[in-house]
Amino acid sequence: MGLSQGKALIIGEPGLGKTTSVEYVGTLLHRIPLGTIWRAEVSGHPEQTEEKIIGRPDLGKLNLGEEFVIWSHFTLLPIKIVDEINRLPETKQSMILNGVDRGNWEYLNDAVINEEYCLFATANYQDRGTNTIIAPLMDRFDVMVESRHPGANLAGLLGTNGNPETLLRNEALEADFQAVLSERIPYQERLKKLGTLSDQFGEYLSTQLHIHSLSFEERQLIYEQIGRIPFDVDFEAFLRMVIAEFSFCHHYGQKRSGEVCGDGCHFTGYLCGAVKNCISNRFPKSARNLSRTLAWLLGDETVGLQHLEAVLPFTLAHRIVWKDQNIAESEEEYRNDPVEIHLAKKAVQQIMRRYREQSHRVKQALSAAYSISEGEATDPVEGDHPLFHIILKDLGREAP
Amino acid sequence: MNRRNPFSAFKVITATHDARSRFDHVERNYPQVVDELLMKFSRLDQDTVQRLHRFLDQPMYNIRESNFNCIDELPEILHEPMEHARRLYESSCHLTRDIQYTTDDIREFCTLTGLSGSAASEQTGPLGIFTAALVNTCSEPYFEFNCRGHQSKLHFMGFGLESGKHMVVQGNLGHFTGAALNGGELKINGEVDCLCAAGMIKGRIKIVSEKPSTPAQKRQRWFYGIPEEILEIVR
Repeated sequence: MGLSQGKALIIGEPGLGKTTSVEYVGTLLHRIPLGTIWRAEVSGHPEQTEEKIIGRPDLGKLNLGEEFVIWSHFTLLPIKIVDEINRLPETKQSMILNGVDRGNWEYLNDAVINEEYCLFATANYQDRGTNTIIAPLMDRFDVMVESRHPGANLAGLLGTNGNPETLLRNEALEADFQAVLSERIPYQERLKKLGTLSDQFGEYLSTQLHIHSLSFEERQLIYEQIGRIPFDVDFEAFLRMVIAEFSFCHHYGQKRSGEVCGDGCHFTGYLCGAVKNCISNRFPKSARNLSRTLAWLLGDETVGLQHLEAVLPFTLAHRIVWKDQNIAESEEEYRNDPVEIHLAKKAVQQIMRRYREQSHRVKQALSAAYSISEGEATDPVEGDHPLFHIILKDLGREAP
Repeated sequence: MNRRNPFSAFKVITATHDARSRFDHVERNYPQVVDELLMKFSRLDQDTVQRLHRFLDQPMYNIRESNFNCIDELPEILHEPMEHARRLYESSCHLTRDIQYTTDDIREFCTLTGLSGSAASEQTGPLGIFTAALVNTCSEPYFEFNCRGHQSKLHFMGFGLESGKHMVVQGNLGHFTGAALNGGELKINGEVDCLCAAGMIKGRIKIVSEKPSTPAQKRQRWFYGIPEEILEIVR
C-alpha cells in the first residue's frame, strides 16, 4: 500500500495490531523514527479539531497582522496515520476529505501539497463510541483490509523477544526531526532537510538492525517502474465487466442510491440487482494502481487477471452498499472475513465466473467497438451481460 | 481535437493475448457451436435462475423428510422449485432448438462453464437443467459425462430425460438428480444429494455408490438419507 502511494482503511478488533503494524511499515518505508511517526499520528475522537489535524495560525504573528500557518506534523510527513478514524464525528470527517484524496492540505489562505504520501486509517468495529464513516471519505480509501488475529500459536509468541518499539526508535534523530518540523521554513526546503535526516535513520537501520530500507531515490525508481507495467487485455476486459455490473441499471440508465430497481428485471441475476449505489470513478483508479503494484512486487511483466482478482475484493468491499436482503443472507454464512469483504469476494467470484464463460465474446465485443469507433463498417457484438449493452450505448446503437 | 478511442486497449486481440490467459480451458479453440451454447445459456431468465438458487441454497435438512424414499407424490414445498426448473428446461430447449451439436459439444460446454473448477453456486442448478435439455434434444441417444474430482456438483442432472435417452455420470451429483425423468435411463457411479427422482414420471435411475470409507462420508450418507450402496428406482 505504501509503495502504491495509496490510502488504506484497516478494520479490526481492538488490540490486533492495526495501528502498530502501520507505524512499523511507515518507519521502515519512509525511514522515519517511530517516535516521530507517533507525534504525527492523528487520533480520532469527538474533540478533534482542524487546528490539531492540519495546521493552526501562528498567533504571535497574527497579533502583528501577519497570517502564517504552522502546519501539523501529520500534514508535513509523507506517512499519515489516522487512528480510530470512525471515532471522528461525521461533521469532522469532512475536514480531511481533500487531504485524504489528493494530499492537498489547506488552512486559511495557505496550502501544503504532498507529492509523496500514503495514508493509513484504522477503525474498530462499531461500538458505542464510534460513528459511521461518511460515504465520500469511505470512497477515498483505495482498499479496506482486516487486521486479523494471528492465531493462538503466533499470538503465543508475542512478547517473547522484548519490545521491538525500542529498536525502531532513535531519540537523537527524533529530536532532529522535531526541530526541522517545527522550523518556519518553506515546505520544499523542509522536505530536503527531512530527506537528509531520513537517510541518517536509514543508515542506523542498516548498521544497527541490518534492515535495508528504501531511500527517496529508490522509492521514486519503484514508483516509476510500477507506472510503466502494462495492463493486458484480460485485465482491461474484466475490469470493464466489473464496473458494468456495479454501475449499470437497465431501468434507470445507471445505478443511483435513491432508486431501487424492482423485481422482474432481466438483469436481476447480475450484481446491479444486488446493490444500492453506483461504483465511483475512484474504484478503477484504485484497482489499476494496486494491481500494478502487486504485479511489480511479484516481478511480473504485465498486469493481468490474477492481479486484479486478488485486489478487487479489497477495493470493492467498502465502496458497495448492498441491499439489505443480500447482507442478511450472507451474515449467517460460514465465512472467514468480515461480511463486507466476504460479500465482495463472492461478488468477484461471480463476475469472474461470468467472465470465464464469456471472455472470448466480451473481448470480441470490445474489439469490434474499437473498429466501429474508428469508422469501420462492422457490426457490434451483442450479448446478455450489461457490458454489451453499455458498449452499444457508447456506440450510439442502444437497443430500444 | 484528437479524441481518444475508449476501446483502444482492444485494438488488437491476438492469439497471444488469449494464450496468456489463466483460463486455458476457456481460451483454447473450441467449436463455434459451443460458443453459441454458452451464449444461449447466458440468456436464461436470470430471475428464475435466482429463485431456483434461493431454494437450492437453503439447508436441505429442512426438507429431508421429502427425500426420494417418499417422493412418489411431490410435497407442496417442491412445487415451486420444480416449476422454476420446468420453466428453465423449456426455455433451454427453446433457445437451443436451432443449434446442431454433438455429445462432445455438450461435454465441452460443461467443461467451459467451469464445472472442473468451482462453479458459482447459483449456476449449478441451471447448468444441470441446461445440460439435460441439450442431452434430450441431441440426436445422439447416449451421453456419458465424467465429473469426478469436480468441485461443483450439478443439480437437476437428467431432468426430464426422455425415453430412448441413456445418460451415464461418473462422479457425484447434487440435488434433484433425475427429477421429472420421463422414460430415460440414468446411471450414476457416485453419490447423489437430496430429492433424487423428485417428480419422476417413468424410467430408471441406478445409483452405484462407492462404499463410504470415512466417517464423514458415512455421516453425509446418513444426512442425505442414502441407505444402500446400490439403489435402483424404476417407475
